[in-house]
Amino acid sequence: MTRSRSPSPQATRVLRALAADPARWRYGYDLATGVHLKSGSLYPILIRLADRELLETSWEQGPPGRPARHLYRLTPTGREYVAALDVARVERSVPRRRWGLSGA
Amino acid sequence: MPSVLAILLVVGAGPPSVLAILLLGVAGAVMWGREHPPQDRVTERRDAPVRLLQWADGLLPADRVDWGQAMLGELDRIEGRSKRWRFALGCVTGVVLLPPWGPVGPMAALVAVALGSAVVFGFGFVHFGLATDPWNWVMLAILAALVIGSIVAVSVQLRRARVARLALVGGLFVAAAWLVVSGFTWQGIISPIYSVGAWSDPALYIAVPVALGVSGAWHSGSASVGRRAARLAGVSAGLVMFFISTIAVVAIDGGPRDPGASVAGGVSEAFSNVAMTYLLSLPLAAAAIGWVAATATARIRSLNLAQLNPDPMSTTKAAGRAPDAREGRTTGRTLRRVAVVVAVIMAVTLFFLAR
Repeated sequence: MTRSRSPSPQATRVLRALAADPARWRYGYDLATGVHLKSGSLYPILIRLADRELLETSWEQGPPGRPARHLYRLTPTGREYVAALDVARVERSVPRRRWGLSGA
Repeated sequence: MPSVLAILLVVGAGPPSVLAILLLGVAGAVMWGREHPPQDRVTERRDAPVRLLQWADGLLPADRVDWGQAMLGELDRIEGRSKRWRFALGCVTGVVLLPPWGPVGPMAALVAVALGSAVVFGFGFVHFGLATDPWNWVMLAILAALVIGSIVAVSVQLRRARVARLALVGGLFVAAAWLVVSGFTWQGIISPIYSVGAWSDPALYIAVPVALGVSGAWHSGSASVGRRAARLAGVSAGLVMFFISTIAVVAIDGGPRDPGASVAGGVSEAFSNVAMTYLLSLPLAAAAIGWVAATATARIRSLNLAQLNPDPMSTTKAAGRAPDAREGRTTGRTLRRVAVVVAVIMAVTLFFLAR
């Protein structure tokens, strides 16, 4: 059974990068440079997201003699998850702003 | 300072067993290099980052193998040496730290052994006043790195259940062999290499890793299983022996020391010696000996299968390798090299024992 705890800031960055263009397949290295993560952090995050079925993967065959390349994009569940994250962020930020105004 | 000197002495100019281990390691590396010639660089890159990542991918659990291929596929498209190194090293870190970290029972036992060593070592550090010498803090840092490295090494090796049982049982046998050679005395445990007496002692050091390498490779049909079993057995035996040796150091105040040397100096030197012997030399020796035994066994098994079944596809499959037209010639060469390595080790050991 997968845990449903909130994602780490790094995982959130990866999710948002993938959600920016959800239909597009992304390469691991491009994703890592895009979100400024080292490969050692990126791949464990991708593995966890795939385990939670938020991420789908595919293989792109390269030229003969070269290894295939792995591609990633969000599943429909993953897109809903990112949307829910955005809603939760808005809900968290609104009361804080109100509190800040009333305290001023 | 005495700690660092002791480290250099044991590792560098040390006794015959250490020299034999180094020779064995070099011979093994040469054999491996000759058996794995660089492939066509036009179609497939085989530089150091690729080799490092390929090695690390072998540590992934079976259900994560695809992710190892994904990392290799990505590395293949990265240009620039520093970028490739950064990417490969990052992936290696990710692979090593990625859960699962091995079965709970054996891991808990080994972590308990490591913690026990830390407690005894900490007691000795405070009791004998080692904190006043800055070099002892250097020793402490090196030792902590070795213990943590050993635990991580065990955890990644234990991911492959096929090897775990054989390796852990084998580790107990390796530890038992070193205890037998030490004569079950505190002094013998602190300086096992100097306790070597009869011919049976070095034979015992060698025989157990050989048995592990042979049994792993023979039963699985793959040299890598035998090598992995020997490696894991060496590291786990090292952790167990290190725990016992820290007790030995504290029990006899570091053992005999040079005239005029302080108790703290003797204890510090003894701690360095046991750390280098059990956390470095023992695992290296077991891994190197097991490597040679497993490789030779896989070759011999492949040769036997070839004689029984002339179908080259089935033979190479059983030996765990891709079909290769040079298989027969390579087998002969490997066996000759193994014989040469064994002969060199025996000669070196004989030379030092005869002195």
